[in-house]
Amino acid sequence: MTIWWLFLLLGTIGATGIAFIWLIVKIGSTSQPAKKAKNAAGTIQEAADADVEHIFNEDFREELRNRGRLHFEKIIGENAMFLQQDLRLTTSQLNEYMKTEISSKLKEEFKKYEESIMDAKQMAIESIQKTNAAIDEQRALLGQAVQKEIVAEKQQLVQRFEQNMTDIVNHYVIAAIGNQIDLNDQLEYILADLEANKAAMIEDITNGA
Amino acid sequence: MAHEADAPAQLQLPLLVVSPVDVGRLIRDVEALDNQLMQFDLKGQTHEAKMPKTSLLLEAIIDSNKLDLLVPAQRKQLLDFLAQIRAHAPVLHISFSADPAASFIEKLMTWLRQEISPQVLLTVGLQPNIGAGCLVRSTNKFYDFSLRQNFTKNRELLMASFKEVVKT
Repeated sequence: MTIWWLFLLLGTIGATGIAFIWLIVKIGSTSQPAKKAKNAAGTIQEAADADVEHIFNEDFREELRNRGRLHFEKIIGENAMFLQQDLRLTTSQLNEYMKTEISSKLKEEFKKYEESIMDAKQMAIESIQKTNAAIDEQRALLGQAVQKEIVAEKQQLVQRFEQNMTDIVNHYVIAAIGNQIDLNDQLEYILADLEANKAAMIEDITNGA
Repeated sequence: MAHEADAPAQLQLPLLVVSPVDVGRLIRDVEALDNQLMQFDLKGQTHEAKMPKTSLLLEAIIDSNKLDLLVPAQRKQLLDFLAQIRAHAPVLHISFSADPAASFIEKLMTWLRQEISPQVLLTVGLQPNIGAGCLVRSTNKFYDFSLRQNFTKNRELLMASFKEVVKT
């Protein structure tokens, strides 16, 4: 937008300068045919013209042209200077404007970018938090399941151990004792057991087939 | 006991006669003796001339019952008694962890003949895995007097002791 404004302003200034030069040249070219028309109107006029020619001779005209040229150059110079100042001013304003616009645009874009980054960061943080929560929940569930499994396994092992321990101890003791206990030493206990079951044995023998 | 009432009251089994096999052996010995003596009688020989050799079991039962086997009636009485015993005597089967000695069997038979039945017979088995004690099988029942069974009975006591040790 500012670049177009700058081109438009420069174009306006350039067109004004060209129009001004064209006007000066036009004025210079239209002044001579008017004088010729007057000389053709009468001799007095021609005499006056001759005087005029005499006064406004070629040197004088040359001097006038030089003055006009100088004046024109002066005006051109002044205008050029004004134009230059104006151009500098415009350029500086344009620079300032562009700087301000670009800065504001950049700030705005940076702000948007920062907001986007913040949003993305927030989303990432929320996602990570959700993931962490899910992982914690899964870990807790897994821990509970593992703990439950361990307790069950432990109970099963203890139960199995309790069930088999007596058999193991029995087996061990019996294997360790082996034939170490003499039967004569056992006779008292064997007779005591038989005595305790004597009635049942007699009844079985008496009533048995 | 009905069977014992039929048997001769005055005869009794010596402690050496333990198993039905011994009874069978005695019967064979008595039959052999009876045949021998019958032959002697038929041939007209005197008994003192060639008496057949008697087994240890036969001598034991003769001594314990004060028998005179030269008398045919007593031989017949003994044979009837032994046949009665073989047919109807109660038999106990007892298994031990080791092969029992003769003295052990004798003590055991003494108790059985006194307390259970005077005609009871015994077959001995071997169960090395019982540790100590014995397994008794009568006509219809089975008694486990082994150390293994005793341990099994006292399992709770062992578990209680073990748990107490674990707690401390």
